Amino acid sequence: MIELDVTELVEPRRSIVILVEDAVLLAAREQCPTVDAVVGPDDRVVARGPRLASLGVPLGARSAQVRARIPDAVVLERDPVLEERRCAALHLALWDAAPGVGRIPGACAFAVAVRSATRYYGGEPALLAQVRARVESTPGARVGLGDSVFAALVASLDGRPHPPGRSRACVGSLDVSVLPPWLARALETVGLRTLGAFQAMEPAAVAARFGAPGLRWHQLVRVERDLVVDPAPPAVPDAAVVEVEDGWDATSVRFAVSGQLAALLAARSGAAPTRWRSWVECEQGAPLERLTDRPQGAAHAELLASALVLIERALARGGRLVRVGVEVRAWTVPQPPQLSLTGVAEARAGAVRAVLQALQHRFGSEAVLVAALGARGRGLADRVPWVPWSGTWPPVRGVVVNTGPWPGSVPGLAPTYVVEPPRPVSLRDGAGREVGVSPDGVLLGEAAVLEELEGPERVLDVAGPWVVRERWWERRRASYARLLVHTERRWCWVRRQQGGWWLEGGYG
Amino acid sequence: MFYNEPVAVFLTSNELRAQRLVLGDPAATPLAGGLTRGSVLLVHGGAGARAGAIEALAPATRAVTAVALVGLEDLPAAALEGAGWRLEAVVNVHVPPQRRLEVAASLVEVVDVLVVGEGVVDARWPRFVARLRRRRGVVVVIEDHCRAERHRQLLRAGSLTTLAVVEAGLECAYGVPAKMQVTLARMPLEETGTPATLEVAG
Repeated sequence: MIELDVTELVEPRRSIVILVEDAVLLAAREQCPTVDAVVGPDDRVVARGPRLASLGVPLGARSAQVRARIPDAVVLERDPVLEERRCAALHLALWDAAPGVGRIPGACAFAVAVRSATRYYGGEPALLAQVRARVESTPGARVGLGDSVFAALVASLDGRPHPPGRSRACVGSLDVSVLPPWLARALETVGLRTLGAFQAMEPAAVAARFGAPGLRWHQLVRVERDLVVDPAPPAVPDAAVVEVEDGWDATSVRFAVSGQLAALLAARSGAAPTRWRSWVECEQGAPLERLTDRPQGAAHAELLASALVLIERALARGGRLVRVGVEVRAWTVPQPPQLSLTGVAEARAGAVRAVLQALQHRFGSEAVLVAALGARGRGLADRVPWVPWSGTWPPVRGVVVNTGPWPGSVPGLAPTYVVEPPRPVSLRDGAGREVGVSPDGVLLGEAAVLEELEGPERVLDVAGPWVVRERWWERRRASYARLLVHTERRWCWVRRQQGGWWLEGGYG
Repeated sequence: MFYNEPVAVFLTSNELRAQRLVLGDPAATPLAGGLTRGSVLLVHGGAGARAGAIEALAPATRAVTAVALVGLEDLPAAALEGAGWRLEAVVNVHVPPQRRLEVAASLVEVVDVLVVGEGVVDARWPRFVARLRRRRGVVVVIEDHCRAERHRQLLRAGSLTTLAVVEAGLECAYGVPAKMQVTLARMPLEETGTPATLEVAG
């Protein structure tokens, strides 16, 4: 039986549908494996176990009626959070497998658009196998393929994928009991037993007898219109999970976990974790796990420490780490955000700062650089130099930048790459002689060939030279001439210094 | 919240044109209304790819909290300033080549736009993109030199939008470069390659 909200329909597209049957019951079994009935907030049964089904207790019965039939029946209240968590896990697995995954609203069912996903797997059978492999560990998951999302949903119940263009016939062969009860009963009343008979009805007759909702179901059954799919990404659970790559040491793992935790906490600014589970999975041996409670709320360092303790224990045991994670199970009541000029964005900026600090801690202060306005020299990279990040960005507004020409300054467009330190190149004329520059800044010879690692390039044009004399008052003084060379492949800056030519940068 | 924003339009054709970037196939919308979160934008095609990418991304830097560069140690900040980037949001990360993807995976959790050089793409790229899709980040790959193996890895990972350099030229005034004109076009990766000829005006 398919009971969905079909107030809006779209054009049909061939899809694979993954449907989890009895999702409510399966979620309840995580709490109690012998559950007999799950009741909603109105105390009516929304899912029933095999004992109840065999006795014929219908859905919608009250819990008192259940206990009247089975005195020792285990009746649980529905837990939407647990259901969503299970659904999100399946959504995540599918999201990683293929693009174009969307959730069918109102059910624990997902649709994969075949057209986009087959490009990655080379055909429908390969895609179907891939999807089946992803959901095989999910209990109750059924996979169907059809010319529309609705047809694929029917195929998942039927267990047979529909060949291209055959969905209408396949759907038509089924009984009307797959439709919602209100429509199935009405169709049976007028003597229609199969969906094929329903398909054959004239739309005007369907609209007159069953109204707009009936007409929409008629269009679905005829594969003329399709269900709407929500393309939103999976709701990421409150967890920081790190897949440990080959060659990572304990510092790498710590760094990765720390970064993810910072992002996780920044996403819930105003709340602090009060209960969390840390776990470490190893190649050999049982996974290590730890549940921590801090009713007053914990900070980043405490969460990280709980994972590090397990990592150390796992490494002491001698196993290779596979996965490390911290899952927050409960948060403090969210507090209103602190009054600040930037509001919630401040929390995100804090997460960025935390990751950058971790990077500097690990790779040194030179690992994280930011731009500082104001030229620091005459090198191509010195116009706007990169300087180590000190926790804040250097002020940009209000800085007086001297853009005026001075000896050795090359105005114009900044190059898009700079070679540090400059690489030796050879600049020769047509006869193979090296081109030089006189002390007065005159080019001696006509440049014809520029030779570098990638082989010789024909020079089409040159501009310059510009003579640069740096720090003439110091011992580390430098004097060179800069030339802009246009070859058949690129534009680049070269300099003549100490009797040789050096590549400084260029435009790429 | 960051992850739940439906679609972020970072690059629009109007903004690109305003940034002196001419997009191929003007009848179509080259980026289909923008670049969605959780996807990768590859800018490639040889000379002009880097200049085109930084021109195209300039509007994005004005609307975000942080932009990180990884594997682009040779990119001078002056080029970003010239293209109109908001430098207060930019951080350039220099780490050993074998650690670049690991660092990129951490940064993509927190920054709005991550720009990476070609050396960052390796066999672990599909896993990185899977995480990117979950975290709804945006990654821009700048490829200075096209490599078939790298293209295969990018295609295998999916969630890819490709802009290729169709034409690049450098305009000079009084002998010094004054302006770089780059024409980018959106086309599937398997149909693109480095242009055989490159028109450079000067």
